[in-house]
Amino acid sequence: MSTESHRSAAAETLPDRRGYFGRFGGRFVPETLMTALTELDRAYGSLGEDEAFQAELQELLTTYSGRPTALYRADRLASEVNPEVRIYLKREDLNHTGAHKINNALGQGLLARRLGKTRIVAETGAGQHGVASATVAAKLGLECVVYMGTEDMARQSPNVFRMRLLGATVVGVDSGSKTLKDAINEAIRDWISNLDSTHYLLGSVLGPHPYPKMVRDFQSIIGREAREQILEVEGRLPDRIIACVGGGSNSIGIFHAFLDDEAVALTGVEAAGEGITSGLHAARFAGGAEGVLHGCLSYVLQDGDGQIAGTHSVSAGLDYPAIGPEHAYYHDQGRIDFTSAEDREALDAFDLLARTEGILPALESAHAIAHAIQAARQAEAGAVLLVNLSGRGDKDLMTVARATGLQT
Amino acid sequence: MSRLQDAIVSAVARGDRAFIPFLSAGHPDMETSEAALRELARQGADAIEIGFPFSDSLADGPVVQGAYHKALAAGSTRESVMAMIGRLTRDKAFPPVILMCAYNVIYRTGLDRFVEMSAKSGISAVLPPDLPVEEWCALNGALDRGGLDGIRLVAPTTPPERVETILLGAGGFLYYISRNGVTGARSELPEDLEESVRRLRALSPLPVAVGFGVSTPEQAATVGRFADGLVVGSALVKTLEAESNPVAKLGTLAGNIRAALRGLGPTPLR
Repeated sequence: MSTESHRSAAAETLPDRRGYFGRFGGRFVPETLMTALTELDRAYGSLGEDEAFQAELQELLTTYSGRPTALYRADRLASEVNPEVRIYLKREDLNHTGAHKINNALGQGLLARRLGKTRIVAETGAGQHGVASATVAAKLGLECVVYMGTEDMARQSPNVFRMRLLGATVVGVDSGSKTLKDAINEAIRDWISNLDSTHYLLGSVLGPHPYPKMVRDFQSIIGREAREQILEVEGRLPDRIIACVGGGSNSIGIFHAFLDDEAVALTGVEAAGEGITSGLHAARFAGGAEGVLHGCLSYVLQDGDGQIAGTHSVSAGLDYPAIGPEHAYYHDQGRIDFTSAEDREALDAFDLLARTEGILPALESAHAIAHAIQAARQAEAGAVLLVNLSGRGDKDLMTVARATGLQT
Repeated sequence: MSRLQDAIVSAVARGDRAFIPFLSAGHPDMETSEAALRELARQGADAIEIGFPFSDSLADGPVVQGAYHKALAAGSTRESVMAMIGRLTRDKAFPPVILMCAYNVIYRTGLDRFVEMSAKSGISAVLPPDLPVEEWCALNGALDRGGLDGIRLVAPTTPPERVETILLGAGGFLYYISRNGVTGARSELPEDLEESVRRLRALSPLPVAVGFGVSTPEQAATVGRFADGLVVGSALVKTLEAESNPVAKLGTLAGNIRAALRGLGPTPLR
């Protein structure tokens, strides 16, 4: 399948040269990192014209990861909530390693090799990006160190085992909230200390420029494929696209090809944890303020003094206090609307998708399913919804079992 | 010349090198922190760098991170930190204070408001460790309006042409990060440190102070041969973790480093 057919106008113009999407983004890092970021930006910038790189990436996406991923019409799920609506799932869970994260890991892995780096460091929350990084490192013969909060290691232990089997070193991070935020701190500190040998394989549309742009570009293959696939089966574009948003890489990945299609509504679903009013959540647009975290200016959950807030979500991948700067921009522009789903709703959606379609979604993706169920109930007859099923739920079986009281 | 720059230049003029100790505000608690900072002044610090506790400090190693977390857990807030510094600087003989502060804290407070609060607390300079020169414009304006210095950092990875950009609008002194990495004591100084600092001093109209990884009087004396000043952080912060007499232990180490930076000659080697 040709995936070069559609690029949104915004992809060509944003971010600007300094990495800004409107007033969000930029580069807020220690001076020590600036030269590495400039080099990375230059190397990445030259890849567009680099046919050998593009051909190698395309080849790996096809033969190694199994792209294009399927677009699946979930009729039994639809019939359960609103039989007049068609719900499509973009099956990123069918990628090698079980999530969309491999799209970016392959791109950055090849780039790291081109930069002459022999070692990659990565952060991970749910473990999907860590597994993708460890996989790509194994395939390309690079050393790999993955930082992971100790709370996340406990709740996503199958992925810790997978990373170790793949030859990666998994370093537990026991500081702060012991989750994704703290893992990113440690990965950046490692990178600062090992610049000559090491590439930081950041897994979301976060961090200093050029990461938000680069990760978005590597992930936007999701939307380009989905756009072509839905046009083929429906003969028209969907009415609404729904994706969960932690840092925001799967959502920007599927949204980007549709930004210029004004009739297509785009909805990002944040983690409402135990409820917005409980304070135990990770919904940046519900409780965050503008701020700087991990190298970029965006919406950040924080207190009045600027100390970063603790977050909560049943899904480790959404349990993060900041959101990608491009999302902040489209939020303020009104192009992407944001809502949230609570832990309970995500667990219910997990259950419903499993029983009606035989698909176990990642708890992150289950937040998107939860909102899709609501949206389908309210949608007009004939509406077409597209949901990014960003990852599979095998890693979450123990969490789900505990939450639902199921015997394992 | 600002009071801060004058303090550094005067130290060199009398044949010493500027001693710039660092502590985290509010660590291990506000009362001990205040006593510790007074002790640094008593030991002859030429300027004092005070770290504003931050939950997610990127450029710091475990010692300073731990101090920040402890300070926050003990109840440090923006108001209490500013008030404590205000009590110190009421004494006009107290050395100039450099406030090291994550940019998010400054941004969240509001740039002008933050500078205003700092000026009211008697702070001489602000040092945001995560603000590269490309993003300094707005803060520079606020610092100019408030009459405070902005301290800029140069790293081993900074190319010479970039140093020139960094120097535009830099105040007080130029802070040279001795190595690529995070803060924290190291047993060895980098081999090329002297060469790097000499090259930087040739470019810089401001005095050059070295920080990151310097922890002993011996290392201080070595660095003093070629730098105008020295920042010592983690090693001092660690003394305050002692069970008994933390402030006295701090004083002993600070006094020894101070002594090592005395009588090194009229100007550092060029």
